[in-house]
Amino acid sequence: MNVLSLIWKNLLRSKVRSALMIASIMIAFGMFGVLSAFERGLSARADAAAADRLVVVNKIDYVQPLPLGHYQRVCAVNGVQSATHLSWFGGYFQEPKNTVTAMAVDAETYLTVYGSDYVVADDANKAFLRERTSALVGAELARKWGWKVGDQIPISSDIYFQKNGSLSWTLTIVGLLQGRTANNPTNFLVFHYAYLNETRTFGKDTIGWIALLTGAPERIDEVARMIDGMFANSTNETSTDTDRAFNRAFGAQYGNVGLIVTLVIGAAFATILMIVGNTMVMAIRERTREIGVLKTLGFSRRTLLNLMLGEACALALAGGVLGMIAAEAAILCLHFAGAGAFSQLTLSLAIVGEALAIMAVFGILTGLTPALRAMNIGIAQALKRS
Amino acid sequence: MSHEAVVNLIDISKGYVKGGERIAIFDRMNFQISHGDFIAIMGPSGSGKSTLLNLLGGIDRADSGEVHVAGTRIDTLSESRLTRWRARHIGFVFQSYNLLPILTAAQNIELPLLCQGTGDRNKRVAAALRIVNLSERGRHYPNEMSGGQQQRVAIARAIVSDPDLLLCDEPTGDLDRASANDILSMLRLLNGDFRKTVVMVTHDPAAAEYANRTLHLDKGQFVERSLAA
Repeated sequence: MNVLSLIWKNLLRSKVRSALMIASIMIAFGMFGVLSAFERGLSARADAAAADRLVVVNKIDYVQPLPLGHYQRVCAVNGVQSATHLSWFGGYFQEPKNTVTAMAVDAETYLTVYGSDYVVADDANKAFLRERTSALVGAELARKWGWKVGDQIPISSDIYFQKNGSLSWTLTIVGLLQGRTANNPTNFLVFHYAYLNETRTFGKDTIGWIALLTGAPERIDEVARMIDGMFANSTNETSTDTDRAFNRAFGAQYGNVGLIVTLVIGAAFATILMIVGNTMVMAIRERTREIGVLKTLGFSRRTLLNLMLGEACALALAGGVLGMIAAEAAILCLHFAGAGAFSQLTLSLAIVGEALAIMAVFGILTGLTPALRAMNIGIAQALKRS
Repeated sequence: MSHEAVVNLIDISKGYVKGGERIAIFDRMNFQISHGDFIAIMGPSGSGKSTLLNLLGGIDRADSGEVHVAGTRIDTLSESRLTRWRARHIGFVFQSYNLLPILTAAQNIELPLLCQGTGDRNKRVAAALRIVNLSERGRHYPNEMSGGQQQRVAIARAIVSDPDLLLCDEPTGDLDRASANDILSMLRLLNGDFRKTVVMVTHDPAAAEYANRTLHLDKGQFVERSLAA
């Protein structure tokens, strides 16, 4: 027998109580794991963008369109190495509930700007350039719906409809987009802007936003100023920022995710801390007499401190590890259920490391009060407790 | 019997404050116990019996005076040194056994050795179990044993670290007569064959008859002494 086995036996003293405390801690750490993975996923996606890529949007709001003419003028700006334009399609597959992220892009230039993020087979790229009704589909999205190259898929829009009255555009899949890193999501498809522009009933010759490369990160400020200056006081003023900032702004449409995650996790931990801490205090108070006996038998104050803190830390570790396992399981389920929508969710080593640190702090915080009490209580006083 | 003093209390005063008034338990008390003695301390509730036991075991501290036990002046020891000293020199037997319910008999007995870092723990536990005639119950939990057996385990726990002094606080208070006699015989055996000095607090005159000396304590003073053996 040793101190560790004594801690273990104390944990098993009231199995139901220990199980409930572990379950409470597990829930808090499960939430921490999933929400942190979500928040990190959004950040990682933003950070994965090329450092020299700028995005030009309507100054009023990025959902407001820009005239197609802006694109030609931006291409002519000194310092713009290459540029493309993209338009949000607001797509769905078969039923509105089957949301599909679809963007109408300039097929000729899309991969010149986003080639650092995505790779497409040469023959697929050639086919994409050749066929106006073709689409390149992200690998995650294709996996979700079981699509393969050669399939014709009807994609409808919740924004546009066709001049012929049809609600859907039939696209032919000619290739798959593969992300160069895990942080490049592939849960979307792109198709020809020309096809959309020609067939839609309104919004002709407008685009969503322009993406461009400067070729040198140090030139982005200068180029951004030039572009916005060029359109200043026009009916469609622009706001040019880095792709990273654009991605962050896009993520911010869900709110300040980082703050929400911090508040939710903080509230969960604070609640569980009080519940577990209070339970630990009561559990150890019940053993006051035993603590007196242990002191009588020669257990030092430090040994008792280690015993009590060890017990609290073991609970936090058990609950925390189970919580992280539950978080990983939940993330895997989301991957399967939501396909690419959650492809960025990963329980990274950094999150696991943070979780371990929180477990240690949690264990110390919940165990400290009863441990100090056990340390400092007089033997005679402790032995009088029934 | 050796007459070397294992306990020597010099001018001990101890009291407590109640309602702003200091109430004395002991006032400049002097007291000695020789090595190998078996002393029963009797007296009414509140007479200071348990306080005396606590002072001898270093569980409580006197307000003034000197407490010498097993060759060490313990009233000046720091808390941590006192803890180490207690583990090595004192064995405690409580009225309500005070065994840890989560541990087996053998593990309960092993507890004092755990904090001393003693080697051969299993051997010493087995020897202690043999002395109290419970070799076959080492793996049993307290709730699987009778009161008498639990008290024997408590005695084994008290002697496993081979202490100089056994302090017993009403060791038979919770037991029936037969079990009480069994425990008292065991204490007598430890005193006689194993040369342990035993100080036993009891209310039971029959229990006191097992001791060599009986001291009557009343209001912090030994008011009567009688030799039983």
